[in-house]
Amino acid sequence: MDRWETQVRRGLVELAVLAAAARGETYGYRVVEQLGSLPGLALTESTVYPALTRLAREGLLAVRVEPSPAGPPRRYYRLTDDGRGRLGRMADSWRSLTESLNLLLEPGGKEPLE
Amino acid sequence: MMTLDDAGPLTLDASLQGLIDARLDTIDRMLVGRVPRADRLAIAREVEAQIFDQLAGQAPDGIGRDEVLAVLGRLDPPEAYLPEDGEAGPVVSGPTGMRVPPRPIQARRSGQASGIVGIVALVVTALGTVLSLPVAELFGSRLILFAGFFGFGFVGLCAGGTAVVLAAFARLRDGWSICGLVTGLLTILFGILGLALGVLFALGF
Repeated sequence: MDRWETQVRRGLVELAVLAAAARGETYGYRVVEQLGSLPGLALTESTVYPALTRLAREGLLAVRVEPSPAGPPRRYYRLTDDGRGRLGRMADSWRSLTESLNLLLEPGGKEPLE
Repeated sequence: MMTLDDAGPLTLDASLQGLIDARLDTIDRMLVGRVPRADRLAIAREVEAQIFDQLAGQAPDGIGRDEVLAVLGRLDPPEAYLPEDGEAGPVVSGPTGMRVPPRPIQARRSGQASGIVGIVALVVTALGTVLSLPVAELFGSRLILFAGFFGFGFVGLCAGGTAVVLAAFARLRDGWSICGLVTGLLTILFGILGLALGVLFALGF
């Protein structure tokens, strides 16, 4: 069960990171705090930072480096147009998936072939 | 102990920074072979920035070794950066245990193509150059002789050069590419010989 939950969370990390970036320009640790505080999601830095750098490399996030009052420079991430498009498609797919699963999971719910 | 410059970012003693650097190096090693170098550096910078963010939230006069270790202890362990089973990218284990990328399929195909082009080019160029003389004598035509030497010489240079370039692209890592290099060089020699003979005949020797 733990392994299944971990795999589901890992599968959703790109969607979650893009959704966090869609709320406005943000930096890595803030994304970790946001996604780590959401019940059930609980993504941590070992998952979030590789996803951020991968999405930036794919051009879905734009990166800006700024000095930080706390120490080393911060990398600020902003959703690009491509990223917004990818997020929209992923969100549509996610909604469709959850609606279908909810049909199956609701007690006495609608039969899939009805 | 930490020093906090009012006008600048947090700075740590070398020993405390060494603790952080050791953690970042370990994370980097976990990612080697699966994540591009630029991404590994970016991930390490993110982790370092998070450590400093967490340290900066503490009382500025009380940050020492224990505080840094406490922050490091709250981070994901370096092993957490390893992918789950089946999630790893296309890598294979080398003899030293290091993860190295597999040889690209294009390189293997280049090696094969190099060998085949080299063999065919050598046979065609050598036969063409050698047979140009009897064929020209048979027809009593100096034009055939001239065209044969020049034509096969030019073909030899082009095809031999192609075989050598393909062998170089394959990095001489298999028999085909080595064969391509050898036959390519021999073909180039035959090509130069053919062109030289063509020039000699053109000059009337």
